Amino acid sequence: MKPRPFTYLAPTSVDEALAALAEHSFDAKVLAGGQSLAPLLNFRMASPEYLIDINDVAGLDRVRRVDGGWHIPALVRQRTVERSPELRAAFPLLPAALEQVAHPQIRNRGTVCGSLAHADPAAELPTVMTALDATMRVASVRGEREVPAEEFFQFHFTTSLEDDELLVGVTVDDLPPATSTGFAEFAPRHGDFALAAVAGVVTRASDGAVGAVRLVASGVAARPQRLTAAEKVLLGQRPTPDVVGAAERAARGEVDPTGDIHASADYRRHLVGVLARRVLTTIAEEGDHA
Amino acid sequence: MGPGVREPTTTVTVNGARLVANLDARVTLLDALRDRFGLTGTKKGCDQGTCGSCTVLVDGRRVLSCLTLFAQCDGRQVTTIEGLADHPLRAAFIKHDAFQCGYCTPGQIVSAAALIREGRAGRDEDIREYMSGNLCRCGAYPRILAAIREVASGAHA
Amino acid sequence: MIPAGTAVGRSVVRPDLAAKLSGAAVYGADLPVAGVLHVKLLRSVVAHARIAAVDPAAALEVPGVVAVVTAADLVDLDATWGHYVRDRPIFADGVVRFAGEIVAAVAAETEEAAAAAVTTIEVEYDELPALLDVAAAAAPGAARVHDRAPRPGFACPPGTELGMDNAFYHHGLQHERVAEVDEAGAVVVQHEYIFPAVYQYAMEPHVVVASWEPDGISVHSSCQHPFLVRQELATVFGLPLERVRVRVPFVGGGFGSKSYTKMEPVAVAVARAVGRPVRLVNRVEDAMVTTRRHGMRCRMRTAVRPDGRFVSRQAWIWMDTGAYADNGPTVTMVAGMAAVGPYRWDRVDIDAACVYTHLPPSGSYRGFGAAHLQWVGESQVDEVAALLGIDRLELRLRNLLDRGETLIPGQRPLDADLAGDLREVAKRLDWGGALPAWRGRGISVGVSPAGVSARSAARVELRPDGRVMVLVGSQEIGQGARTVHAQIAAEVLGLGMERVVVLPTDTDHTPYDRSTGASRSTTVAGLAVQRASERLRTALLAAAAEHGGVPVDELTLRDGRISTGKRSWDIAELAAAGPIGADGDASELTGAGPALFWEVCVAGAEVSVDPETGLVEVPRVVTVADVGRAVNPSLVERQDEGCTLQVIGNAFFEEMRFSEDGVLLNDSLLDYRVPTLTDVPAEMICVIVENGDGPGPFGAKGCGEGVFGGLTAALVSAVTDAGVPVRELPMSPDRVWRWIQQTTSDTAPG
Repeated sequence: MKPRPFTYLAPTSVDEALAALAEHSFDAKVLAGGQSLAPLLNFRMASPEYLIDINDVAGLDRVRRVDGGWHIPALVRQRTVERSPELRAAFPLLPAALEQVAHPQIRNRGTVCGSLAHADPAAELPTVMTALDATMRVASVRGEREVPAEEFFQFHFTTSLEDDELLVGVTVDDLPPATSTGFAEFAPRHGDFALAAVAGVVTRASDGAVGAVRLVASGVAARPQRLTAAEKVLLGQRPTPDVVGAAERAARGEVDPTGDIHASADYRRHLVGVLARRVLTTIAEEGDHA
Repeated sequence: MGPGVREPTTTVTVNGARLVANLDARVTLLDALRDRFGLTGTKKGCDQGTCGSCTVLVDGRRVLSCLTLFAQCDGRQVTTIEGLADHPLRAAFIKHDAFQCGYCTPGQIVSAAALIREGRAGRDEDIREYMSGNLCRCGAYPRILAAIREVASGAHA
Repeated sequence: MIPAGTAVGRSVVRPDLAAKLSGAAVYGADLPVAGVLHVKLLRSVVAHARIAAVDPAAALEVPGVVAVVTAADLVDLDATWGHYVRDRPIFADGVVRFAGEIVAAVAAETEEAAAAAVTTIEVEYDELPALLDVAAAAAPGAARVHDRAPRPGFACPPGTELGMDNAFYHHGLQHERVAEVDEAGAVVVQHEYIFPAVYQYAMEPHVVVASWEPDGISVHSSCQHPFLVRQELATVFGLPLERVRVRVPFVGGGFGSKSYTKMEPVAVAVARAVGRPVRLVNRVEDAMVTTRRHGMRCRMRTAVRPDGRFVSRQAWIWMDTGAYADNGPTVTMVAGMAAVGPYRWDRVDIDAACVYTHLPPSGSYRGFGAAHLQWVGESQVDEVAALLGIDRLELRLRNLLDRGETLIPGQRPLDADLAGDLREVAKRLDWGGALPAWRGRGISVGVSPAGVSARSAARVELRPDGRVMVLVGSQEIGQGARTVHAQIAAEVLGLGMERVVVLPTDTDHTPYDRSTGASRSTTVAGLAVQRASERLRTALLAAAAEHGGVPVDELTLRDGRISTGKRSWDIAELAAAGPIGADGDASELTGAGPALFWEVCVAGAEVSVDPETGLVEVPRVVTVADVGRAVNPSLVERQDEGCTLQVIGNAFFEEMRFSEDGVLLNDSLLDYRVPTLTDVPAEMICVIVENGDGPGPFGAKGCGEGVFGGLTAALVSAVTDAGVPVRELPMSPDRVWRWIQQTTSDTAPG
């Protein structure tokens, strides 16, 4: 298959890119790494009249330190984040999840922001960014706005981006002290989209009890789902095996997945519980040794 | 032509040779290499980014040429199997009988060359994981692993 | 081990490696063809429908489009093909019988134009009910997928009965070893089993370059059976064989997917319509609806006396061949044979049926029949062993057939030491040693008929430059056929490998070879090469005797030189005036029926099951390559390794999934998963057994497919041993988890 004809635009600045988006909005698609978009084009699941290649846009390809956190602009490749010593140290969740994303060839070109804007509910990055409470930096000729990850992902392949908006970057705040994170997914074969995944961020109070927690699952809904019932079980408790077991049951009880050709609904529900327990157990051990 | 519309001419250095072409924006790097430049060593397998047969290096990093538009490669250095004639992986693949039908082989070698240069081929489990984007249905995987291990540990040093 | 010869018995480097490594090897899609048109196919989106109308008008308007071809363009031909059953129209003719059936083709100057145009062809379908379940299709009174009586194809064995029902072909095996079969007191197990539809996935999809020329048809095709393709095209297009020429470039894997005829008729039909050469390249989504492995349902019953003596085996097997027969009847026959198992039964009663459904057609895939049925029969042996409290290995050894005993009346007697093979596996699995919880060991034994036909010929020629050319029609598809044939010629002729060249197949010049399949390239085509080489050797010695005025028995031929006393000369001198050639064939291999030899299917495995996720890991596999004589031990090992990887895919995650409307859901490699480097077992042991008992050259017999029967069964056996009974493949994590839930609830204390 070949895509339908399109006009190829290669802006060199964010302003140029936003102008092009403003002009063509619904008729345009943004091309960054192209690892999700190219297959859609080839299968004509997306048929834009204009392809706005932002790879030549200056200033979007380096991770940078911002006040109280890190900013990952739109052209930063997944492999760059995976291998960045600073980001590995600041957010171990990122490499843990990225190593599970497809294969190195894909990660070499695929961008972090591209995966976020694509919003595949089975993908790792939306789940992890939701767990990290990341902030999406969204721009258009109308101005800039910030969108929390939880509001950004709306449905299968649907975000809160308007047609004329560009995801220019994502900002992740530093984790508070005494915070541990964990990620676990289950894919029958390495590199596949996971049948289910769970990311967790847990901050312990001075007495070792859970002071704050974000537990997010993928593979069970049309967007990353916070496991709020499981979070409630954990809050204020030390994450003992009993408490973690109760959280596992709560997680299982609060998700309502659908079955598909890869796994039944029951199996996915079960997996979310198992993965939540595995993540929480790792986090508990790490926190206890901290 | 509005702001940002690029001149349709793309200049690429392929295996050291500077090539200039004016192609439809839809043309992938894979099709450009095979159909326009006659470099048929790079294979089209799935054309969906799932098999790894079309792996090439762009500025030294391995990418899937079927998921890369030719127009995106303006000013870049592309290396294909034809450009790795002297790579020690070739001898290692022969020594270890690391392929059968040969269709995935160019992609395997290009991918492995990048992996070794990245310095990520030190442990078997890394080779397994970082080569998992290159399928081989003949199942030469154990031999591919052995060939890469040998080059990574010896000849590369 | 048998001592190595000068070439045979050695792991020589394959001569075709260098071209494959440099990217210089030319595969079908790489062939430069002047003025070639690109073909894209319009495939049915529904499983069963009458075609009310096809409107190509919009497609013809697309710039660059040369023609749209449909059944209407072939009315002057009997445009139906099929080697076993002539049941398949080149283009759907009035009715479509599966989602994916070819309705129309576009030929255009560019691939882009063809792709754009093909989506604009308007087809109006009047949908009809579809039969998607093999049992429903085989049920009495079911609507018929084909309403006409089946026509035998050119390769249908004489006397084959083809019926009118969807279950149009049956292979029955009924025999008794004793006059009175006594089942009194016997332990009986009986269950139903399911094997899914799977996809061969050669990494190079089918490619055909075809042209229709004044003197006939010319085709370059990525095919395994060029001589059968030639016959099929000659039949369909009404030409004598000599006016159809088939050439085979490098082939990027086959595994059965490129056996018999596949895309050649439609490519030739388009070339005929446009009068220009055309190239047709399948993509994954095309290949998956072109051919696949049969899905299977089976009910099996095994009865064993309390003392462990096997009494009877019965099986009823339904093979889903899809909308067209392809090689279904042969697959069904082999499945029926595999259901028996290589044991001494008092009574065997098998009925295997080949059944039409409204799903894509099924054909050959490595190890067919044995892959489907060996695990079923062997899991019943394991179950009986558990019920009787007899060790699984011991129970098998007590009942296994010995060399020379009859497996199936009328077929070649057993020609292997199965008990010896099984003991080799057990030893390497540390049989009997304790294992932790959720780990298990499995072992399995079977045989499968191989060789299929003695129709292989070869020509070996000494050329004036001193090189020897081998013309043999067995295709190099990665298995190393060219290497093995060069070794055989080199051994017989006393030449270095560098002086032997095996040429690619061109049906105008290459001697006839039936097919590259059924593990026959070494054994059957290889025997033809051996005989031709021997005749050439005799001719060379005779010529040398005349040339030098010396008696033949005083001459020796070694390292490319003929010597007598102190004089010696290079054989090239003998061919100075022109090539000297000799022919040979394998006609001496007169076997009764499809088994020219029995391919051994013996393997073992160790697995560990994660009871929480149902994920099975395979730390160790053991395969036995009981090959009679390993012409090239390295290639033998590669065959077992490669087959092991495919078994792991088939056994644990590969499965074609169809919607309720019969549309393939996982038509990409994202959704249809095949093994990667991460799926390789930690330890893979290949035991090469050389008893010199094969009918092929130097006592060789074929290999490369037996692992499919043996290892699939061993993995099922191991998972069962780990505590999870298996009645359905693949053993995907969700299934294994569900089976664990069921087993736990079944056995929970009350």
